[in-house]
Amino acid sequence: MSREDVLDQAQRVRSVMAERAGDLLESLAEHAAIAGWIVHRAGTAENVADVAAAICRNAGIKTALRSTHSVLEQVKIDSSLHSGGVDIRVMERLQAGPGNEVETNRGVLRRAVFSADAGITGGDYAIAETGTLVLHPRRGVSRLLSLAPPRHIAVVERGTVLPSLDELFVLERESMLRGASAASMNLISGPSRTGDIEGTIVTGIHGPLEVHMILFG
Amino acid sequence: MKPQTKEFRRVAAKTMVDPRLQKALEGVYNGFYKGRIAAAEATDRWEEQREQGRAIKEHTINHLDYYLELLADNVEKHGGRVFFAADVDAANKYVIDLALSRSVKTVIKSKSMVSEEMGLNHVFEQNGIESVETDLGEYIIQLAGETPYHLIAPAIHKSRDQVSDLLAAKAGGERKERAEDLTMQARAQLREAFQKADMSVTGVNFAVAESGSIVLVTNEGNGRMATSAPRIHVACMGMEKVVPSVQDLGTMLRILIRSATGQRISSYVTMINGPRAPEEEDGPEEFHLVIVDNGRSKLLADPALREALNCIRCGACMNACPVYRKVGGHSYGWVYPGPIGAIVTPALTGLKQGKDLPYASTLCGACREACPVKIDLPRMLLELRGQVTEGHPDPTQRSSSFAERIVWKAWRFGMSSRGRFDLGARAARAVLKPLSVGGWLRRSPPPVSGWTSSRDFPLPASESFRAKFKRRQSKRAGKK
Amino acid sequence: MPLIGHVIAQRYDSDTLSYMSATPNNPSLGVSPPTRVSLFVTCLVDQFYPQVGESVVNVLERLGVDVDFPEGQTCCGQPAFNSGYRSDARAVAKRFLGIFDGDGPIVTPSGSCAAMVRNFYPELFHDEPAELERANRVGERLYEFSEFMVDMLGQTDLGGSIDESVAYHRCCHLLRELGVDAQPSSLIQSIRGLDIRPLERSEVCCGFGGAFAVKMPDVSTAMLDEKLDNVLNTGAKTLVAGDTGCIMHMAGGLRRRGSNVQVIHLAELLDRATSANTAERSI
Repeated sequence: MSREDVLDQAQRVRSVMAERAGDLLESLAEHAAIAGWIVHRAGTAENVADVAAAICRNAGIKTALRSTHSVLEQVKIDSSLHSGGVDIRVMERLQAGPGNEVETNRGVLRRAVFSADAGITGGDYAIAETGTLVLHPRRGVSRLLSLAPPRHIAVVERGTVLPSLDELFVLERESMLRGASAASMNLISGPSRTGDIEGTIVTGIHGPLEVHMILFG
Repeated sequence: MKPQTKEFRRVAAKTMVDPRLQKALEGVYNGFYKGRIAAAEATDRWEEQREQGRAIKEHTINHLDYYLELLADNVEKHGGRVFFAADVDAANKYVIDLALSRSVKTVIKSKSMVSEEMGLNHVFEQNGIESVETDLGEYIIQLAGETPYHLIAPAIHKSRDQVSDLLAAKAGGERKERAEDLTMQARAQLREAFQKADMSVTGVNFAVAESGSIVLVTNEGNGRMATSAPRIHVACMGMEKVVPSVQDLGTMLRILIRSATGQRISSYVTMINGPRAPEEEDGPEEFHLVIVDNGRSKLLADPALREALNCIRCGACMNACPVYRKVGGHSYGWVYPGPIGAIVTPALTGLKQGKDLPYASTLCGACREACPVKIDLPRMLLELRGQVTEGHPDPTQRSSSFAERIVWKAWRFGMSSRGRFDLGARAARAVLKPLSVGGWLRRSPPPVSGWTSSRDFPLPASESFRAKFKRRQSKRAGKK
Repeated sequence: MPLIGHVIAQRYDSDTLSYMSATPNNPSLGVSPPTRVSLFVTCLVDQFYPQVGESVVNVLERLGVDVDFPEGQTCCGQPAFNSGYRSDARAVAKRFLGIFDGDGPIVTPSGSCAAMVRNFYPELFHDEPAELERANRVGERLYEFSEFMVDMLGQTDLGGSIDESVAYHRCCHLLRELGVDAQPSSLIQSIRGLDIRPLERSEVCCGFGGAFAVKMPDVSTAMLDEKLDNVLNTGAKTLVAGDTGCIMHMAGGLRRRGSNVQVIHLAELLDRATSANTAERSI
C-alpha cells in the first residue's frame, strides 16, 4: 500500500460522496433517527434557520453557543435565533477582556459552555451507516460545545455524508499523510446515554440529553 | 488490585443463592447476549469482519514489539509522552509522580480496566489526590467500595434501590428513586468533578500505531469530558491494545461495539492524536500514554496462550457464558470476569491460587461463538487445565491432589483393557444395586459423590452394549 | 506518517484457526452411500445406556447399512483430557486409534466424543507426528450419528411416525464443536405425528460438562435447574438430546424432581419412529 494508493482511495471516496449525495442523505436520515438523533429536513437556507429557531422555541432554549462552521453563517442562523429571543454567540469570539488572550479566555469559554442551554455546530462529515456526525475540534470548533450543554443542534449539508466508517478512516488516513489532521476527532451518534441502573436507558448523563440533526439539502 | 481468585467457590456459592444478584444476572441473556446476536444478524458480512478482526489482532500480536515501538514514536511525534511500564508499580509511580509534579488535586477517571489492575484510585488516595470515577457504573461501584462485576456494565449487580442508597449518602441524604432521577443526581455530582479536575486518566479501546492515536468508545460522554476539560490527559493501556493502521478501525469498531452492547455504534467514538492544538478553545495541554505489561509478556511468550492477547474487551464472552450468568463477576476474583477472565487471571496473577478458574466451565463453546475476534477460549481453558495438573513448567504453580491423580490413573488402568472395563462396570453395578431404586441411586460413590447432591445417578446397565451386540450377532448366525 | 499495509487479512495470511470441524473429508466415499460402518458406541453408552447403541444399530440396519463393532473399544480419552490429565488421556487415546484405524466410516452417537477425536486429538498428539497422522486418518472417517444419517446417507425422511410431544435440547459439543444442528433438526421434523415443542434457550448448556458436574456441583445444578425449568415449561412428555452425558444429567435431575418426563437419545427416537417399518426387533 503506497502513498498514491491512499490518495487514490480518498479521491474515490470523495467522488462517491458527491455522486451518491442524495441517497446517502436519505440513509443518514434513517440511521441517525435509529441512533437517537431527532432528525429534521430543510431544503433551503431559510428553512434551516427556521427549523433551528423552532427547535429552540420548543425546547425553551434561551442561550446558545455555536461553532464557526461556515454553513451556520450561510444560513444566517444568528439573526433567526435572535428574532426568537435566543441569546446566540459564536464561542470562539467570547472574550474575557480587551486582550483576547486564549489563556484568560479559556476560563470564560469554560463557564459559558457549561452554562449554555444549547450548543450548535455544523458537521465536518456524517456517516450514513451509523447515523453519525463527525467533528474535528479545532479553533472555532470547541470540544465541549457539542458535549456540555444539554442540547446539541447540528446542521449537516448534503454532500458531506460518507457511506460507512471505512470511508471516514480513508479520509483520516489521507489527512494524516498530508500532515493536516486535527488533534482529535469526535464521532457523535445520538444523545449521551447510560444503562448502568438496572439496564434502564437514560439520556443526558454527561453529554446532551437531546440531539438534533438538521439535514440541509 | 489484589487477586482473590482462591475465593471462586465461596463467592460463586454465595452468588447463586442471592436472589438480587440472580435477578441482575438473569437480565444478561435477553439484554447483552441477544443484543449481540441481533446486531450480528443485521450486519452485512459479519463473519467476514470477525475473521478480519481476528487476522488483524493475530498479526499485531505476532509483531507486537514492532507496533508498540511505532506507536510510541508516533505519539511522541505528535507531542505526547509515552511510558512503558513493566508492571503496575511502575505504572502507578509514573502517574503519581506526574500528578504530584503538576500539583494535581483532583483526577477524573474514565473507564480503564488496566487502571483497575493498578488499583490506581487507591494509590491516588494514598497520595492525597481525589480521584473520581465518571462512568456511572464505575462511579457506583467506587461509592460502594467494590470491584467491577462485568467488563461493560461494572455495576450490573446493583439494584436501583442500592444505587439510591449510594447516591443519597453522597448527596447528604437526598434520596431519589427513579432511574432517570438517579442518573441526574449522579450527573450533578460528577459535573463538579469534570469542571475542577486538573488531570484525567482514561483507558484506551484501540491505540493506532501508524498515527500515534488512541480511540475511546463510550455512550455516556465521560471519555470526551475527560479528554476535553482537564489540562492533563493520561491514557493507560494494556500493551496488547494496539492495532496497526487507521484503516483497521472501521472493522474493529464495528465488531467491538455490536458485540459489546448490540448497538450499531456507541454514542461517542473519540480519536485522540495528541494534546490539543495550541489555538483550540479546550482540550488537554499534555497527553501521556502509559503502556502496561504487567504479565502480558508471559502470555505473549506462551504460544498456547498468546491468543488471549487478541481480546478487545467487549464482554461478549461473559454475556454468552452460562457459568458467568450464574456465578457473576466477583467470583473470578480479579479485574476480568467470565471466560476471558478465567484465562488471563490465572496466567497473570498466578495459576496456583487461580486453579479453580480454568475449571469453571463446561467447555460449551458459547464464548468462542460470541467472540468478535474468534478467540478459541475453550482451547485455552483446556491448556490451563493441562498446566494446572502436570504441564506448567514451574512445579510450584501446579496443583493436582494425590486423590485426583489416583482417580485418573485408575481410570486409565480400567480403560486400557476391555476386560477391566467390563469388569469394573459389572462390579460397580453389583455393589450399588442394593442401594438403588428403579435403576437409580440417590447417593453416588466417590469420586462422583458430588453428583447426587441434586441429581439421581443411574446404575450401570445389567449388560454392556458389547455383550448385547455379541448376543444379537450370534442369534443371527444361529438363524442362518 | 509511515504507512502500514492495510487490510491485514489480505496482506498477511494467517493460519485460520480450525476450531470448528468441517464435515470430514472421506475420499473413499464415491457416489453411492456407504453400506458398512464401524460403531464407536462410547464408554457411557456401552456401560450405562446400551439401548442407545441398539437403537443406532437398528436404525442403520433398516437403511441397509451393516454395523461392525470393534470389540476392544472402551473410551476416546475425553474425560481425562478435559480434566487436564493429558498423559492419561493420551494413553487411552492411542489405544482408541489402534482399535479404529482402518477403512470405512466410523459412526458414534456422541457429539462430544466425535469432537474429541476430530478436534482435540490433533492437540493431544501435536508433537507426535506418527500418532498425529493416525489421528487425522481416523478422524477423517469419523461421523456423529445424525451427521452421518443426513450428510453421508442422504437421509432426511425415514418415513417414521410417533404420536408424542417432544422437546429437543441442542448439546453443546454437537452444536458448536462439530457445527451439527440442521441434521438432527431435520430428522426430528420429518417424523410424522410428532408434536415438537419449541424449547426456550435450547442452545444453552445443560450444565453437565463431564467432570464439571462433580467438580462444581452447585454451579452445574444451577445451570441444570434453568434447563429443566425450560424443559418442563414446554409440557413435552419426552426430551430428546444427542449426547448421553447430557441425557444422564438431565434425566437424573428430572427424576430427582419427581418428573415423568422421559429423556432419550435421538437414535432412540428414530428407532421408535421407524420400528413399525420392519419386523426386526432389537434384543
